[in-house]
Amino acid sequence: MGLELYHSDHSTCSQKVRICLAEKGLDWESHVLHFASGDHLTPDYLKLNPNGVVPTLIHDGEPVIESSVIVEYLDEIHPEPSLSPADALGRARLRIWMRYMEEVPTPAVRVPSFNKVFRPLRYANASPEDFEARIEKMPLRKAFYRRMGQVDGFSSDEVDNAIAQIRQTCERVDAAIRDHGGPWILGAQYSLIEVTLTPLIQRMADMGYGPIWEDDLPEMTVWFARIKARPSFAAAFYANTNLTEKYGQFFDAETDSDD
Amino acid sequence: MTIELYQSHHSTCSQKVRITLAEKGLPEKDKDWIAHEINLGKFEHLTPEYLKINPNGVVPTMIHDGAVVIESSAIVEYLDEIIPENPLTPEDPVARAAMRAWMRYIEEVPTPAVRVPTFANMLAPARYLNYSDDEFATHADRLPLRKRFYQRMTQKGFGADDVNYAKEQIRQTCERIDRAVAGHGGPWIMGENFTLADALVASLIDRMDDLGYTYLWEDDLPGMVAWFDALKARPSFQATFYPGARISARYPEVYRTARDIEAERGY
Repeated sequence: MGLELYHSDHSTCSQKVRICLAEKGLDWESHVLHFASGDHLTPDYLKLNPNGVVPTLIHDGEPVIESSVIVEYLDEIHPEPSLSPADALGRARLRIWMRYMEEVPTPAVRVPSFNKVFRPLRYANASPEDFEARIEKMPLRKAFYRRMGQVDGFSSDEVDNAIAQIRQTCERVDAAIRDHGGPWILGAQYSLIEVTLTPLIQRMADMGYGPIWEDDLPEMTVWFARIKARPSFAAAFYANTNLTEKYGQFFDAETDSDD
Repeated sequence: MTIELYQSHHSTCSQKVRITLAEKGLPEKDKDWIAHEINLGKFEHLTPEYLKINPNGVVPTMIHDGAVVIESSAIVEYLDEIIPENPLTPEDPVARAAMRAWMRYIEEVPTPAVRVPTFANMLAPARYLNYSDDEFATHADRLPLRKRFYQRMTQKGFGADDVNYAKEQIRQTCERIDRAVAGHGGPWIMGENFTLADALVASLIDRMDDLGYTYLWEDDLPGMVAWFDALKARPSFQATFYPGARISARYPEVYRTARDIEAERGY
């Protein structure tokens, strides 16, 4: 009983939940899923998580899905230290950020991630029929894979749009820290916004996109340095699981300039 | 308490908030809450004044005693917290998480999916058909969110792949509602009580019904049919979908049913 997490070491949505667990100081049992073996699409896993994605939290036998729902759930059942404002308006502001992150940077980060690593890693050697058959099995996000395509990856328009969305996110973070006096997005309180945004920014930094914010968004840059100094960062990001470390073969000089 | 809503009669996200207001005992527009109608056809949601209160350039925006709250899902949770009567959220944390997982699914899957036939069948012909490529690209560039949605659409509307996939996503939503109603014994998604999950998906299903896509569920998903019938019988539904609040009434000159459109264009 207690807390169990079905997750993957490098998945950003798994990292969101691991940061939250670490911030709360909670012990949990780990079940690592391997996408390459299709662990996330087995009938048994789909019973826990009908969307066929990681992570899934099991608390005393009850499954809780969707990373942003899981972190909110953890904050409710383990209120100390609190990761959300005490008043209704503050909570609404936190949720506005959460919804923005789900709509804008979360899908945007997938575009360069798949172009650089996951498409060549998982689909380059599949036949077109096999590629389509694998997409058909996915409960969500079929259109994402079809737009990516098996051979070409996302078009430069899609990549440019994704980068523009990440830039917009960073500009909003920078402005929020300035407007609220920092050090965090809502002001004095480190919140679920930091918990869910951190893995997206770390992924972009790992893939070499740091200049998107490092060059001219000083608040955002200091914010990210502060995040990396927290113990929850070291706990959630396992050694050698950055994409550049785990899948270094896709990050040689040639592919690096090819975005 | 003063609640003002910057909204549009036919916008599904405005309707999500209106149905929640009605469920919380504030059913009457211009009496229980103040409406500021934003004319989306005139792009009033993209003026500098409006972008100051809603940097995403979308409706609705709620002002509660001077405090600005945006994003329909954040607004409905806020309303449910500040008005404790008629709770629309389960008390038990696991059930609350299950309802929120529904909310995230509704935001990710049916909410964007419903935009595809809405734009393909109604808004592209009503608003954009006469735009040049340059004019349309300039328009898409003005949007703080969802530029790429417009770029993929073009001024002519969506093609077969996008429309068919959107229908598949709506069908999946209906199958999940059907199973939830059967699994929890109904009449609502979470069981006995009407919750924010029902409030968020109501306007999406009503839009599909209004556009003539009722065939996606009416023949073989009895739980879904029962859910929609129960929804339509609620007073909050009548308050939300007041006369003229549907898109078919907003643009009667371009309205044709899904079946007629499909017969002509093949998807």
